[in-house]
Amino acid sequence: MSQVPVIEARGLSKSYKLYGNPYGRLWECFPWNKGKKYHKTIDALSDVTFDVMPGECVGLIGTNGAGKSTMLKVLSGTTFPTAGSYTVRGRVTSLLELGAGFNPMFSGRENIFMNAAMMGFSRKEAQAKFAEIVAFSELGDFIHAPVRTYSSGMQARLGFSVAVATDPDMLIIDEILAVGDMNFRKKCVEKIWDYKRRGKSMFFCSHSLYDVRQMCDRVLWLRNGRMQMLGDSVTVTNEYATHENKIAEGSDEMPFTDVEDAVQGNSNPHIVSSELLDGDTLKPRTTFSPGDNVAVRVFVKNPPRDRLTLAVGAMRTDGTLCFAHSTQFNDLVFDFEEGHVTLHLPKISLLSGEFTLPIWLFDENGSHRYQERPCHDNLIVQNRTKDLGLFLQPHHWEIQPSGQKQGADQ
Amino acid sequence: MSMARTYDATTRSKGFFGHAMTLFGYPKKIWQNRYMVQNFFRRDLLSRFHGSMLGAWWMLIQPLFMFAVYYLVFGKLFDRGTGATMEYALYLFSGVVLFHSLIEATTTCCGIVVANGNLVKKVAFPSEALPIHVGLVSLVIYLVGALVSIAASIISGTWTPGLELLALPLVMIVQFVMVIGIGLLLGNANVFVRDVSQLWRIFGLAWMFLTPVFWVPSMLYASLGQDSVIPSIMMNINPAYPLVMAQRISLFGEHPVYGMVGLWANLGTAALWAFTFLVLGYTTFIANKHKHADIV
Repeated sequence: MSQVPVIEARGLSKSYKLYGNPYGRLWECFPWNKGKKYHKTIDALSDVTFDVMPGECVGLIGTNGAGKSTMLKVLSGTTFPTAGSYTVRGRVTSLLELGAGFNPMFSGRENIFMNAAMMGFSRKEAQAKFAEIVAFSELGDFIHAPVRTYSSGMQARLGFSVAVATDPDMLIIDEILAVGDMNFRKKCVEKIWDYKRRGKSMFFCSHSLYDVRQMCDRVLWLRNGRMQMLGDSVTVTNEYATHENKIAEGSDEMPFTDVEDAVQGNSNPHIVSSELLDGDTLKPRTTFSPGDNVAVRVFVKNPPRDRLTLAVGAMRTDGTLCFAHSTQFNDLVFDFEEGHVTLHLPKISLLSGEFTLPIWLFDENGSHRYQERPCHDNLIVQNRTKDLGLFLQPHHWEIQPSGQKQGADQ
Repeated sequence: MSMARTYDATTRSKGFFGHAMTLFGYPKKIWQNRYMVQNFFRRDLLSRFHGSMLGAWWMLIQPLFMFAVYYLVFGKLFDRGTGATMEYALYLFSGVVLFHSLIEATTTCCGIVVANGNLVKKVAFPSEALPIHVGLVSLVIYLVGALVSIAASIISGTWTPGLELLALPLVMIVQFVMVIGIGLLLGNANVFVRDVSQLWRIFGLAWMFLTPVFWVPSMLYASLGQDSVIPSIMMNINPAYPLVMAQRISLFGEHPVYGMVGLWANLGTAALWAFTFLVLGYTTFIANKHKHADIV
């Protein structure tokens, strides 16, 4: 089956003209100022070409100022490229500026209709969607109150609800949405996954390489507005991580939200406690040597019996993530109400050091984070040998002076 | 997947004529986005009276009071001794109502892209439809004023509306097109040079006094002399002149004393002006629209 791409971008370039004073633009119009330049040109994007096929999720990564936002804006049609062309087939919804069109003077209801109208809906379509939007936003009677009385979380919730209600063929997302409280965030992530499962396309921009890998089939890496790499998500994110000299999922993207979650975590799935055990005796132990068997046991309470996955990593004190394993990577999902999950690490190869063990409690897709907290015990490894570095690489030596054939004198 | 949106930067430069030709698709575009225009329209009207106790009644109360003021001040206080107090008050009032709605709408349109910068930057929507609701609101406001003048004219027995009244919808269409044309022209220009909106306020005031709103054309000849060419120049290069006169004729019938003659000639000239503005305004707007989001 030959498929037509949802997005066809061909040699997209975008340059901005920056004028020193507001009238530079006007002076340039006069013929006697021909040849004089009143502006600096900034190339935000140069010559970017790619396709997004139906049902595909393409990620967009790059450092700050690499042109990611410009790319998203060009695809959503709010700003236009200075060179190149693109074709977008089907209805596209951007989750970039949630509630951008809201007028604070009017009620949520009014704003829903206005927003729907601006997205090209007819009155009938808007009315048909209205109940669904209100239900999803969980605003209840507040829907009749002016938007200026809303909290920022409520506004974002309304914005998200309106945006996803359009049932687009393509979603453009800037970071996984952290909107509203825990439950609503989960709903948002689930909604996005629901789109993915229904074979809708997505264009997803994020700084979290983990999220990009989880969501995307292919990844486009932009560097200074140029395409650095386009390929399958694991390859590109690995390249990117190496290039940007940062281990994937470094400490900066993994803030522990332990305190907040522990307080509200009663009815939500949460980590009750965690401990470090001897892998053989399953007795608590924190100090090990390379080659010892280690186990990390995490006690989880899951009153709603959601389908969960759990990840455990090890992080050196400088924030280097040494490893991280998730039950999701091994297609293990659990939905018990109360129990524990144990990660067995036979013959650890880490060398001397103290490692914190971050634990993440995820939904079944590994997207929504219920909780992130370090294991109660730190893993301390004491080296008996003189080996240096992070881990004990299995190795052996062979010493061979030149000029002698191996085994010659036998 | 019915919709496809294509943008090609290399084929974009179509020149003035190329962009002007897309004007034929403009009504269709508005029609496709009628629900959006309708929402803007409603919001505009609602926000005018938002929170006031009398609400939409202000739309009627305002012109009524305005008429009373014109009647008392210009008719009675500065009585020109012609005895035609009511006639003159009606002449004045009808001119003011039309000109006021014209100036108010064009001034709003002038700042409309900048004022909706938030939307232009963040939401992909046809911004060339923005002046439409402004034009519609101005028509509503004008219509209430026109009805007040007709009622006042009938009640006082000054003038009885004739068959010319049937041309009023045509006058309003011409006025609407003129508002949209000037609105697109100014709205686009103001994105690039913000001083346009300030200049337009001054210009609007000058324009009002150069148009026979407060004065009667014959007064020009009285002060400048019968042979002067200035009055005819003033009237021929002023797009508002034929419009104001056409609407007065349509409301009250022909009255040579007040320069109210030739409904169709006036209406035709006004329509020509309006169409010129539409072509100019629409073309410059469409040709520069892609820059708006980056500048606003």
